[in-house]
Amino acid sequence: MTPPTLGIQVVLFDDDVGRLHRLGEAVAASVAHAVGRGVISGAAVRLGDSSAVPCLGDDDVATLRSILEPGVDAVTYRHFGDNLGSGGGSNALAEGAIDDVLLVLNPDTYPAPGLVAAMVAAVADPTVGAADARQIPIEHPKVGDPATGDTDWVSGSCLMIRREVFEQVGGFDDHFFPLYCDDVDLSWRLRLAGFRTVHVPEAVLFHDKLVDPAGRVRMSEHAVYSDGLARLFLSRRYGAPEIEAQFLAWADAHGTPAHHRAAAEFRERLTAGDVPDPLQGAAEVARFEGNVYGRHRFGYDVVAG
Amino acid sequence: MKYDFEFSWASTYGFAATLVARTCERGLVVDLGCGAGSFAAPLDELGFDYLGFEYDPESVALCRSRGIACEPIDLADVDDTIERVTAAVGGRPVRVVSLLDVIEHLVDPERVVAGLRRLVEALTVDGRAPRVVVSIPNVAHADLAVKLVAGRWDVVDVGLLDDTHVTLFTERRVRDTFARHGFAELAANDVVIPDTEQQYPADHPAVAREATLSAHLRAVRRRADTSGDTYQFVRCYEVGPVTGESPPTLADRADTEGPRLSVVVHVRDGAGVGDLLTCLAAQHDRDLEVLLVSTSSTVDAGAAVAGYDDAFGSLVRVVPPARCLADACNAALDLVGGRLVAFLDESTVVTGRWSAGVHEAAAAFPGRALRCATVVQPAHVADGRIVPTEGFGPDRTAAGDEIGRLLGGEPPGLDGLVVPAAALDGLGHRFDPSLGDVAATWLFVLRLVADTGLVRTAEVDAVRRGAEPSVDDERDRAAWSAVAAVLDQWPYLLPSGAASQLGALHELRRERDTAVERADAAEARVDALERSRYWTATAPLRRLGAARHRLGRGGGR
Repeated sequence: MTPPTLGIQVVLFDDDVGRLHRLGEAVAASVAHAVGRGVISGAAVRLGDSSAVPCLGDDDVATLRSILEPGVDAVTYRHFGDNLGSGGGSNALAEGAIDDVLLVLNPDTYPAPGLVAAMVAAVADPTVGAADARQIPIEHPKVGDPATGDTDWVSGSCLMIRREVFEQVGGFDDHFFPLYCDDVDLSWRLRLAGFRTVHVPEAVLFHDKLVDPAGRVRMSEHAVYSDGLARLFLSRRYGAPEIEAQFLAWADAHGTPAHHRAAAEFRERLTAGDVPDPLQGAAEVARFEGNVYGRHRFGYDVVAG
Repeated sequence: MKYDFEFSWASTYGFAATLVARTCERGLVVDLGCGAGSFAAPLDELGFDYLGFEYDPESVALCRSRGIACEPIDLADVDDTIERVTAAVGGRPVRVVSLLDVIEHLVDPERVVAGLRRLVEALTVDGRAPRVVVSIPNVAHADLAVKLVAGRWDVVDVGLLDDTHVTLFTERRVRDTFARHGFAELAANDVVIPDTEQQYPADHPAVAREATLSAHLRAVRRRADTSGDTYQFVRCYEVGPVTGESPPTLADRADTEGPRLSVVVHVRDGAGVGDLLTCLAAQHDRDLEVLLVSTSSTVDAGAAVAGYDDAFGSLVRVVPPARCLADACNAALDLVGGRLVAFLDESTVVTGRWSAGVHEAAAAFPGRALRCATVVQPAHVADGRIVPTEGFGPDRTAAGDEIGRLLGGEPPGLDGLVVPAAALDGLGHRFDPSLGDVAATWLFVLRLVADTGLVRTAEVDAVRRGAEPSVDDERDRAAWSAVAAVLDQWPYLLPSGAASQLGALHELRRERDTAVERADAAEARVDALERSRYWTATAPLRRLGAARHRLGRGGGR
């Protein structure tokens, strides 16, 4: 049997060219490693740009090509002309794709050499819907079964999925805009369709995050807003009205301006009927622990900075 | 006449003659700047022929009156020198050209050494060039170094600071000057004199050898390089390739060669090295090199390097495993090319801006050692990987209280330490493998920090994953004893903040002593009571009381 082909999709938003060069070097090395072991037969890289002004000029694209090729067969760059968000951008990049397997990858990452091979091996299992990688330096604390890898949801910062499965469940839901929880939603719809979601600890992904002097994980104001809004969408879709009510009450009483903004926008979208529809059978796959999605081995304090 | 020395084998000329005898074929010696010809007699004794050349007409006459062959020359006129020397040699094969205590009297040593090279070529017969033997006083002698710190530079009639020396040499300048003109060093027979004529005023605390300040300065000088006690460099050269380098200029002072940061990674069991390498590969500022050190030949650090992009792969070197961490780190320090050297444990991971943050801090605090602000995350090793088990906690090494941590039996905290390479190369800081790794590391950190001070970086860019090392009293006592034994030999100037720490320690001791005194007094009172007649007489009553108490408690089961 011919090894599968891989389509690597990166949605850009005001990204630094130097960072993309490092990402390109890492992707090229990880693809070469997987091709060398016969795990994949080839790979294409698709960059989709949601920025208002394109991140990359022709010269930048040429430089990226020279970094990625010849290990990667084709490198394409598209400026969407509109902010499609992370899920919407990934869907747009997957349209008309012919690769057997898709890797949705954040631009602020650096995959370790063995990442592609380890993840492709994981999604080769037909019971597996999607897989994610072990993040460093701040490891995601969600629970994963050490023996099987089964986990409540897989992270979209580095998410691998067979294309046919992606198409079967309709890809990401672009209600989750601009980012966050689109991956949780996809994971839970995959599980609703009978697939497993697994964590692959052998696949190592550097994810460019920061810690503050008190050891709290730093998120930008915008990320706090997006995360708040996305949680509200998630609780609406997966039948957790108590979490929705709790979050709105907490945001009103104690939230930062970013939380207020998220609550206000959710209420507006609710009035306009522009929120994800509740899903049949959602309770079977949705896992909330307290007011957070998924189960966790330990917690991190998060600070807006 | 100032330089009409009587020859002695213990003098510079004696050392030079010994070096000639050891390294050069018997034959004719051309001695440039021969003075009163003091070098002729020992060479004659050793079976060499001698031909002296001298600028001072009085000295030429004196040589001739003593029956020593001597011709006048002016070394400042290279062409004339070559002409006169070749004429006087008259085609005989010359085995040695010597310049003893000459070059420091000439204003343009570059021109002289360039001329020397031409002369040696002119004297080459059948492809055989004479060897060159020089003696040059060392201006970086410890006696001069300690005096200069105290503002003294005592130029006198003879010795290291002779009033006719117009060019001053350190070992490095000697080496570089001769190398530039294609002289390869063959052998050395330096004159080593720890106590020179410059050791005055004898009661100055910077000068008097046993005084604390002097001992400290001399210890620093001793670590910096090996030439602190060298009085004269006595070296033998043969013609080699010309490096073609220009003499240094002020513009060369910033060394722009090599990476800006060398990262020395301690690989223990290999469980974390892949994660750390990935973090380093992802640095925003990748102007760095990585050296992997280990003490176990069973850990294949090289395997962890495989597969990275070529650009990063070329930045990583695997240092051959050593028998202890001290040896491994020293081997790495001999290889590093960066202007900053960072130590990381493989269990640590760093954010993308870590190296940029190190550079920012180093630029803000030049010459200082840095401690990378770090958070600690409890973790264990499973399936060959480091698995975090909890969220982040504070790092005990962060406070910068090195003495307090040492006395508290804590590990030295090499992880996250960043050191200016100038402190390593310039001041010779290394690990002492004879002490054991814990003590060697402590001593390295303490001595380094005494020279540099220690600054904590502002932002947390590192996560140290793993169990906090347990305090092992016995091991720590042993380590502390070893550290103390070395520190006792060394006039340790306390780092800033030490006075308060010592004050706090003193306070603690006083509290403890008071508590002990109170306890002793109470014990004495109990003793007195037990020996009293009342206590003895009431003993049966107390036994009865105790028995009743036991019965009363025993109702349950």
